Amino acid sequence: MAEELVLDIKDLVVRYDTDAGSVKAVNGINLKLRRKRSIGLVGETGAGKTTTALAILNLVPEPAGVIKNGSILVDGKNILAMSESELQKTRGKGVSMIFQDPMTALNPVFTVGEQIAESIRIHEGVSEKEAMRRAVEMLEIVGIAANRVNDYPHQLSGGMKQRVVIAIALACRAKLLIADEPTTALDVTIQAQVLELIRSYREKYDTAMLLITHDLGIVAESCDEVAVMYAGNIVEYGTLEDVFNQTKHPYTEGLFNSLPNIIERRSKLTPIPGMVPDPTELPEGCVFAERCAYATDECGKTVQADQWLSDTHMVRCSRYCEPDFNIIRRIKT
Amino acid sequence: MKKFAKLTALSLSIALLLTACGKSGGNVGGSASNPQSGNGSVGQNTAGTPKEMVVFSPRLDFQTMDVQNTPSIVTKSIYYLVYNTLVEKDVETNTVVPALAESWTQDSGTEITFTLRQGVKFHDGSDFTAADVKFTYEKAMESAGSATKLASLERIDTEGDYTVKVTLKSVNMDFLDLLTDPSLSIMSKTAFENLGEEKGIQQGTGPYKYTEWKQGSYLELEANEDYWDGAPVTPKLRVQYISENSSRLIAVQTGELDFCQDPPGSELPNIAANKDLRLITYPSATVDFVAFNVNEAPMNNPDVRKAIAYAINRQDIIDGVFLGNAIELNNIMHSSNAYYSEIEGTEYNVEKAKELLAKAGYADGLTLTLATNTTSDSQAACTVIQALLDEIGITVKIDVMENATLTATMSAGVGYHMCYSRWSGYAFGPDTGIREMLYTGGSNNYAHYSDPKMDQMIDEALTIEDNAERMAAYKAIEEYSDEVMAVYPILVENYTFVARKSVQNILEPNGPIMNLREVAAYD
Amino acid sequence: MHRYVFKRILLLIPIMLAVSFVVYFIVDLAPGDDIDAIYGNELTAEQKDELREELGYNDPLVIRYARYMGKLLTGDMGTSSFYHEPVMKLYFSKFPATLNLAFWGIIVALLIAIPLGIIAAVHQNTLIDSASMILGLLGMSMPNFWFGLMLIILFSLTLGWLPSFGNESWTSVILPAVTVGVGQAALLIRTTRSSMLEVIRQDYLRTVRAKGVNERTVIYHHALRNALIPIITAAGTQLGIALGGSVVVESVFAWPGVGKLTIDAFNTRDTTLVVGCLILTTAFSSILMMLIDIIYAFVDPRIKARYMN
Repeated sequence: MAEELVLDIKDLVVRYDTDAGSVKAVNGINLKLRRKRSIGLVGETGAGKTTTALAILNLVPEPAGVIKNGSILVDGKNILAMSESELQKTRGKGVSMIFQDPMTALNPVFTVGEQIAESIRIHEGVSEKEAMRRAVEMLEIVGIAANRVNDYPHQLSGGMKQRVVIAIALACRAKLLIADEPTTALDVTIQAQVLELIRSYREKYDTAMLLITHDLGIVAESCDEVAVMYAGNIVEYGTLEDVFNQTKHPYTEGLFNSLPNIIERRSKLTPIPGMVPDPTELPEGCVFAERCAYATDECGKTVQADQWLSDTHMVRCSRYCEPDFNIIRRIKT
Repeated sequence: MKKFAKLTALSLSIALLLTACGKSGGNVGGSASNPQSGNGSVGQNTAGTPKEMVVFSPRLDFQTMDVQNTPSIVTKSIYYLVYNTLVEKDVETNTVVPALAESWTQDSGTEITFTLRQGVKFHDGSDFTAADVKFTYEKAMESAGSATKLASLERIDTEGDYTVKVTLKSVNMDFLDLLTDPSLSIMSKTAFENLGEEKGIQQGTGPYKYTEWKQGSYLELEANEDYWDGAPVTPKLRVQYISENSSRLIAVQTGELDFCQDPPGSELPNIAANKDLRLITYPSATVDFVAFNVNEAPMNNPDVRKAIAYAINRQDIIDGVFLGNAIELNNIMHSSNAYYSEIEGTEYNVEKAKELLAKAGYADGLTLTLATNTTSDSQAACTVIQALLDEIGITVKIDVMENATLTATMSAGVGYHMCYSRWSGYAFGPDTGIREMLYTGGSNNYAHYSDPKMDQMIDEALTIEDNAERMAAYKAIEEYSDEVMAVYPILVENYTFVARKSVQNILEPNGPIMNLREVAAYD
Repeated sequence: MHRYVFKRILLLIPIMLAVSFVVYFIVDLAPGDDIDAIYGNELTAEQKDELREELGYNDPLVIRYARYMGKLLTGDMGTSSFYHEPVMKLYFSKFPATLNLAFWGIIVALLIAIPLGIIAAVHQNTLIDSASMILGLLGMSMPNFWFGLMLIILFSLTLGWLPSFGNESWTSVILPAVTVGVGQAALLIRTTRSSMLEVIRQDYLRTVRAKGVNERTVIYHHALRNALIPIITAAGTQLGIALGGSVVVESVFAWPGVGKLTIDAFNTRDTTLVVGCLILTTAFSSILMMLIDIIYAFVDPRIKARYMN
C-alpha cells in the first residue's frame, strides 16, 4: 500500500517570519493521499490550507516563508530535499496546481496559448509548434474555442480565465493535482461544469487530487477523504462518511452548523462564536479551546495529540480520552 | 561644469604626471625644456621624410568660410593658410612686407600704388590680377565684418592687370597694417563669377587649399603644389576641433594630434617634464585689463581710478591665476606692437593708493562693483583684485555675467563701476587698439571715456608720416593714458602650443594670427 | 493605430508653436544680441545700431516672431548669423552624431541598469541590493566631465585601445557612449528595481513557477516583460534628453553633436540658430515619445487594446 502513496506529508511546520512576529501558518500536519484518490482540505480563510499546498510545490514565498520541519514525499521523493532542477521537473509534471484567483494567476503579457504551451514544452520536450497544438487541444478540453488561443488574458471572462488556469494545470497530466478553491471565482452553473471537467479528467488519467475549499458541498461531491484544518492544525481527518456522518471534532461540527439548511430554510445559521486565534500567538493547548462549547480548563493547557478512533478516522481533541465523550450534532444530514 | 574644472584639473594633473613618469622611465626633469623658450624652429631636424598629414587642434572651431565676416582668430589663421593678403606682416622685423603686392609706393599721405605679383594663380586655376583686388576690397566695404578696416578707403583704381591705385579719404598711416588682416584676403573675381559665391569664396592663392570640411569636427587642407612662394613641406593639414583643453592635451600625448593650442595651465610643468612633448610659448595678442566706467560716480574721479591702479599688483594675478604663464603690461599699447615704448607706468604702491583715496575723500573706504564674464580665469583674477583692493578699504562686489550679457552691459555703460575684460587687436597697426579702447564712442571703450584731448592725440598720430615723430606721438598717448587711467592694463597671456617632439616650425604668430604655413612633422 | 499616430503627429503642431514662441521670447529677453557677441570688438556702437536697424532687430518682438514663423512655414529656418550657414544644414550636419551617441548611450545604460536593477530587486534588502544601488549612485554622482577624461586616460592614453576624440570610426563612439550611459544608468537601475519589485510579488509568477519553469526564465522572460513599461518610459525620457545633446560629453570627446551647437548659439545670441536647434530638438523628442507610446503597445497587449478601440 505504501508504494501507492502519491503524497505523504509528515509533521509539516511552516512559519512566516514578519516584522510583526512569526506567523505560525502550518503547525505539524500529517497527510497521506493514494493514487486516484482525492482529499478535501477544508477550513476557514487563514487556516493554512494554501500554505500547505504551496509547501507541496516548495513554493512557500521566500524569504518570509520558512519550512521549519517535516517532509513532503511526492511519489516517494522528498520535495524539501530536492535540488532546484529536480524541483523544476516535478513542478507541473509530478504535481500541478490550480490557483484560486484566475484574475491574477495569468501573465497579462503572454497569450493563453503561450502560457499553456510553456509547461508542455518544458516537460514533454516537444517542439514549440507541437506544444502549441497541444495547448489548443487543452483549450478545447476545458471548453474554450480553439480560435481564442492567441487571446491575451484581458480578452477573456473570469470563467474562461479559470479554465485556462485549469488547462495549464492539466496540460502535463500530473500525478497529483492540487486545486486551490478552483471554483470560488465562478458562478454556480459554471462551478458544476468545472468540477465535472476536473472529475472526468482525473478519471481518464488516474490523477490524485488535493482539493482546497471552504465549501463542504463541493467536498461531498468530489472527495473520498476530508481533512479539516484549523489554525495550522488538522483537527479531524477521515473518509467522507467519517467526517460528514460521524463528526467528532467540535470545530467540524461548528462548520456544519454554520451551513445554510436547504430543507429547513427558516432555521437560523449558528456561527461559531469568537475569533480565530492570532497566528503569531497560538495558545499552548488546543487551538480551538477558546471558542469550543465543550472545552474544559484542561483543554487550553494540554498539548493535543492525534487520536485515531478507527483505522480511517482521526480527531485531535483530548476530550476523546474520556470514554463517554461525544458531541451532539444539531442538524442531521 | 566650469566650477569643478579646477578640481578636475588637479586630479587630471596627477594622472598625467603618472603617465609622464611611466613613459620617461623616471627621467623626469632631465629632459625638461624651458617653458618660456618660445621658438618653434629650435632643433631644426629636417632629416627623414615629412609626415603625410599633420593634425592640429586649435582652441576654437573653424567658424565659417565667409572670409570677410568673421572676428574669429582661429578662422582667420586658417585663411592665412588658404589665402594671401596684398601685403603681410613680418613678425621678426615688425614691418609690413610684400605678398601679393610685389612692391608699393606711397605717392602721398592719401595715395598708395601697388605693383602686383605676376603669374600667381588661384586654386581654381584663374589668374590673379588687379581686378581681383578691386573686387575683394569693394566687397569688403559692404561687409559688416570688414567695413571698419576699410573705412578710410575712398577709391580703388586699376591700371592694367598688375597695378592697383588706392586713394584714402584722409591720411591713415595704419592702412598697410590693416591690409594684413586675413579677413582682407584676396579672392578671385573670376571664381565668384564661374563657380558661384559658395565655391568661389573658397578659392585662394595660399599654400594650402580646402579639401574637406566636417563642420564641428575637422577641416582638411591640402598643399597647393603651385604655390607662388614654393609648395609647403606637409602635404596635408587637418584642423581638428576639440573644445576641451584637457582632451586636446591627451590627444597630443596619444599621438592622435601632432600639436595643439592652449593646454590646461595647470599642466604646463608636466608638459615641460614630458620627453615626448615640447611646449612652445609666444606672447599672445590678448591684453587683460580693468576699465573704469566713468559714467558711474565715483569713477569719474581720476584720483579714485589712480588709487585703484596703484593698489593692484599685476604679479599677484600672473602668479595666482595664470601660474606664471603671462607677462606684465603697464602700457595701453601692446608690448609686441612696433609703436610700443617703455614708459614709467603705474606700479603697485599701497601707500600711494591710500593717499590718493584719502585725497578723493574716501579715506573711510567705499564699495564698488566689478563686472566680468564666466571664464574661470577672469573670475579668479577678479578675486585677486577684490583681495588687493580690500587692503585700501575698497569693498569689491564681483558681478559675474555670461559673456554676451557682459558685452551688452559694457556697451551700454550702466550698472558697473569696473569691468575686467580682454581685447586682442594690436596686430594691425598701433591705431586700432587704442582707438577702440579710448576714443570717444570706440567699440571697446568700456570705460566710456570721452576726452577731446585724447581724441585729438589719437587722430593726429594716425596721420604722422615721419616714423620717429609718429613713435613719439604714440609714446605721448601711452603716457597720457597712464595719467588719466581710464583703462588699467594688466598682462599679456602667453600663446601656448604643445607639440610632439617630431613637430617643427610652429612659427611666431602675427599677433593673434597663427602661422602654420611651414609646419611639418618628421618621424 | 494609424489614427492614433496621426493624432499624435497633429499634436506636434501646437507643441512646436508653443516651443518656438517661448524660446524666441526667452532668447529675446537675454541681454545682448548677436551683433554685440560677434562684432563686439569690430564695430562702434553707432555702426552696430545701423546694422540692427538694417536687419530689423528694432521691430517689436511679435513682428519678428511672425516673420520668423512665416519663413518657417515655407521650410526655411533661416541662416545662422555666426556661421553664415543655413540653420537646417548646421543642425543636420550634427544631428546624426547626436542620435548615434544617444542611441549607444542608452544601450550602455540599459545593459548596466537592467541586470543590476533585477539583481537588486530579486535580492531585495540584501547586501547585493545595496551594492547595486551604490554602484548606480556612483555612476550618477561621478561628473561626466571627470569620468570621460578618466576613460580617455585609461583607454586612449595608457592602453591605446580607443580613439580619444572625434567620430570617424565605429570605435569612436565607445568611450562617449559609456560616459553617457553610466550617467544615465542610475535612474534606470532604480526604475528597474522598483518596477521589478512590484511584478515579482504577482500571483502569475507563482503560476509560472508551478509549471516548472526555471528561475531565469521566470525573471527575465515573465517578470521583466511585465516590468518593462516603466523602464521604457524612463529610458525614453533619458533618450529624449540625450537627443538635445550633451555639452560636457561633446566637449570632452570632441563629439560633433547638437548640444554644443545649441549652447554656443545661445552664447553668441544667434537667435535664429538657437530657436532652430530647439525647435528641431523638440520635434525629434516628440517623435521619440510617440515611438515609445507605440513600443508600449507591443510590450503590453492591454495598452494595444486601448489604442485599437
